[in-house]
Formats: sequence, structure tokens, C-alpha cells
Amino acid sequence: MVNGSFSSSIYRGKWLVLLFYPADFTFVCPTELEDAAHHYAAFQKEGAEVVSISTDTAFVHKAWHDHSKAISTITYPMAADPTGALCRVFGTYIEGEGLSRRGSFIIDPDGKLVSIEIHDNSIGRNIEEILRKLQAAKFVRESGGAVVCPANWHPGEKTLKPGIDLVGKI
Amino acid sequence: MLTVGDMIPDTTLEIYYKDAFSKVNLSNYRGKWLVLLFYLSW
Repeated sequence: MVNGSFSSSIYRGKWLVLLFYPADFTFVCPTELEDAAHHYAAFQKEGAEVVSISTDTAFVHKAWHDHSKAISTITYPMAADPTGALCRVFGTYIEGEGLSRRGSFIIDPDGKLVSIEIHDNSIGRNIEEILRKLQAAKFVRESGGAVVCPANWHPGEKTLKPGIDLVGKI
Repeated sequence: MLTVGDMIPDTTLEIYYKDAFSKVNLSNYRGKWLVLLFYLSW
């Protein structure tokens, strides 16, 4: 992280969205991270923190933040994983390249991983879809697991209550 | 376990398709894009 070492336990009690990407000063990454910056307030409104992670150092993150108009809009923590240790844990590390794949992970307030999405590095992400998944996961958790969210569920839409009355009816 | 960049294995699966049961090998789709959607029992 920019100011100190990364410890995921400091986010315990909050939803956490980790956005792994290959490298600073490249082409797809700034569009994605700028999009995440654009949606950051919406994530915070849901009680979630967003952290981006690459194998660049925190100094490179700072230089990129200083020099790129798109990246300068970022106010969430930009984490540095130069050894690839965290990338390996999440399965995004490309051995031999020293870079991360594009991976997005949603972690609940207990620290449990609830969503994994890993792309080929040529494919940009849809940050809105990550926000939608977070909202669905949060809604289910807050219902105590009593409801599940159907396809393309957005906040305010109908949910499903799994039960014997629904079997064979959908 | 597969990850992005890996080749998928040749796997034969029983399928229900067009109101019939048959078998398909995933290698039959070589040359096309393929979308696999896994789901649980509900």
C-alpha cells in the first residue's frame, strides 16, 4: 500500500474489493482504474473499500499518479506487491513475467472470499458489474442468507427465498 | 486446476440438447469460441 504494509485484517468488518492488474504505465489499466475511481464513492456508500494491486512498487504508483491525468483521479489505496506474494495467493501471478493477471475479488466483512473473476490481460473489466456483485453479496448477507439474488439482480429488485414452495416453479 | 492462459483438456460430457441425450467432446468446439457456464443444483 502507498502508506505502509498491506494487512488485509485492517479491512475486517468492511467489504473489500481487490483489483489486481498487470502494470502501471500501460494501456488498458488506466481506463479500468479510472473507471474504478469514478465508482469509488458508490463502493464507499456500500461500506466497501477498494484496493488496486500490481507488482510495481509504491514509488512507481506515486509516479504514475503524478503523471497520468486518468490515474490522478484515484483516491483509493494503490497497493504494491513487488514480490508477487499476494498475487500468488490469489492465483493471479504470471510466473516468468512477474506480472499479475487482471483479477477482481470481493471479500466479505469476515474476510471470506465471495467472488473471483480473472481475465486474460487483453480484456478490460466492467467495474459496474463488480459493484453489482458486491451489492448482491451484501444484500444476501444482510438478509442472514435468507434470500438469493437472481440473474442480473440490482438493488431494489425482487430476490428469491429458497424453499420447498419454489422447487420446480422457476 | 486451470487458469487463464491454459489449454482446456479434451473432456467428453453427457449432454441434454434439443430434447435428446448424447455425448460431446469439448475438443469438438476447437475453432469456435466456447462459453461454459457452471452452476450448482439450485
